[in-house]
Amino acid sequence: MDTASGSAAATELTPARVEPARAIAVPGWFYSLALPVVLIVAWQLATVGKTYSLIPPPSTVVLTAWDYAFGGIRNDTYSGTFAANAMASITRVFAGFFVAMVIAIPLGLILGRSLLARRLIDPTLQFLRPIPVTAWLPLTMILFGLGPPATIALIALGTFFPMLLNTVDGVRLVEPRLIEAAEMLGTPKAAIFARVILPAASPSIFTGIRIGLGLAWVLLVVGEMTGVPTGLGANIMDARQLSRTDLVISGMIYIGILGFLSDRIVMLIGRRALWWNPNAR
Amino acid sequence: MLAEPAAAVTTTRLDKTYRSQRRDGTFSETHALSNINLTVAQGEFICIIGASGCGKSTLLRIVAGFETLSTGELYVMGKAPAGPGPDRGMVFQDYALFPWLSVAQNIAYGPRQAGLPKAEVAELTERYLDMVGLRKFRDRFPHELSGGMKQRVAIARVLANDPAVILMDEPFGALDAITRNGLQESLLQIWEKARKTILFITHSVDEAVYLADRVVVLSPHPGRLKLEVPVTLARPRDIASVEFNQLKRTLLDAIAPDIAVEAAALA
Ligand SMILES: Nc1ncnc2c1ncn2[C@@H]1O[C@H](COP(=O)(O)OP(=O)(O)OP(=O)(O)O)[C@@H](O)[C@H]1O
Ligand SMILES: [Mg+2]
Repeated sequence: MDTASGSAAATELTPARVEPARAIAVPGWFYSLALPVVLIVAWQLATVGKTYSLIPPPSTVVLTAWDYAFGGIRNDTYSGTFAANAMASITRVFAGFFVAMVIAIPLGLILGRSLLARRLIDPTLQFLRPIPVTAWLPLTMILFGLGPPATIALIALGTFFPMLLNTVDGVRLVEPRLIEAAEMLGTPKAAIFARVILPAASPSIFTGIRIGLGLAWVLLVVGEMTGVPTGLGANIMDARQLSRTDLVISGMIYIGILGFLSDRIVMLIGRRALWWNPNAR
Repeated sequence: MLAEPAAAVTTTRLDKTYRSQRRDGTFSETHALSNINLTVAQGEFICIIGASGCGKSTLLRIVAGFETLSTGELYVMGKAPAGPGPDRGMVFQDYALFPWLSVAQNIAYGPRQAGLPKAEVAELTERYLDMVGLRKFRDRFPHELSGGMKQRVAIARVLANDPAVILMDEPFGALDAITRNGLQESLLQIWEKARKTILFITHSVDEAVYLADRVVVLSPHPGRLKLEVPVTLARPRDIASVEFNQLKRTLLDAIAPDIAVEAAALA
């Protein structure tokens, strides 16, 4: 780009045109679908026609999943109830995730910046962190009673730590150079946090949010073991007791799809907000 | 001090000792700079050379306000600075651009902090985008630029703040020879236009003699001012001329013993 004789004012650099990558003419989703298709075919071959198989073939699961969503096939208590149950679960997932986020991120920002706060709070957090969410189940039910508040509390507990730790790391690992650069460019001391530390830490904070939301879905089934009557996780636990494995698997698939979709939405938001960050694209 | 027009930078008996805590709680001290007396006139282009660890960066960082001095005095435009400020712009070897801001936003950052009106910020941004030849890259982000282009942005970002002194710590050290030559030319043109005071650290004796009005040699352990060599050759300088090479010889002889010690220590 630069030339040996080039002078600053005279050499106007021009952006290079980017050639589109010309790979094999097969769309990306083709590769993504190959493995699931193979697994489903193998599953079908292994289970179809075996009357006493504990695991139903995929064809049965597809029918149940359809019936769960739209009704009209099995006409049992679960027919056509997916939307209502999914709404209940989505509300709890996002409520728990949101509660955790509004506590974890500000707390993480403080812990990342203040040695005193770290000394005061960090040991306690490190002690609580390895306790699995399932172990909190009885205690949450005593504290919040049977029902959705306990579910939300469990999801919040489980998603809290990844968001907290990523925020703390993001803040602590801000390059000191960037702060120096901001200082020598005249940034007021009080504004360094908002103008440098926050944007510099934002990719890490965003990673925490993504992990947290993903975990919220993972925790849904445990979260709905608190005696809530509705929700995809509650349905799965009930279906297990009724030996309705087809329904269990349908619920699993739907949770997977919802978790995937919510991750995509967060990814899209992050990609827009963190457009400058090559790792977020 | 205040009577005559103030020098851009003055240090008097400046001393710096780093104190760092060891793992066992005791402290170790590094005497980085000793009795530095340096006066830099306004508009002067100073290059600082010396063996690794002789305190070049320390000196620059003290002037920038990133480090405190231990004893002695420092004046910038006749005043003792308290901490870093926009009157002393720093160009780092690793650029230190804000990765979340575009090229234009990086350049506009300083004027914005100064609270200039929008129109003026925009005008300054355009002027310095042009001065470093990056108009067409204005909306790119730092990670989309080559090292040489990043350093152009870093220079423009500092110039847009209209600092009294520009501090450059091996700014072209990470660049290849061709890019480096291009940037040296650009810097000289900018300097001749803007007549800024520049303190420029380099490892390259060639670069020092090519750029500087005066080359300052530091010697290590502790860092002392060993030699000051004025370079009066007319610009553009002919790097193949006899005079140019005589100056190089003088400077190389001055740092040779320190480099030899360094080499022996590494061996
Ligand atoms: N933050 C610090 N804490 C303790 N000692 C330091 C610190 N920074 C530098 N030193 C020491 O001070 C001395 C001078 O370091 P400085 O970085 O100024 O050297 P330099 O001339 O810039 O070297 P180089 O050419 O390798 O960049 C060295 O002995 C170094 O180990
Ligand atoms: Mg250095």
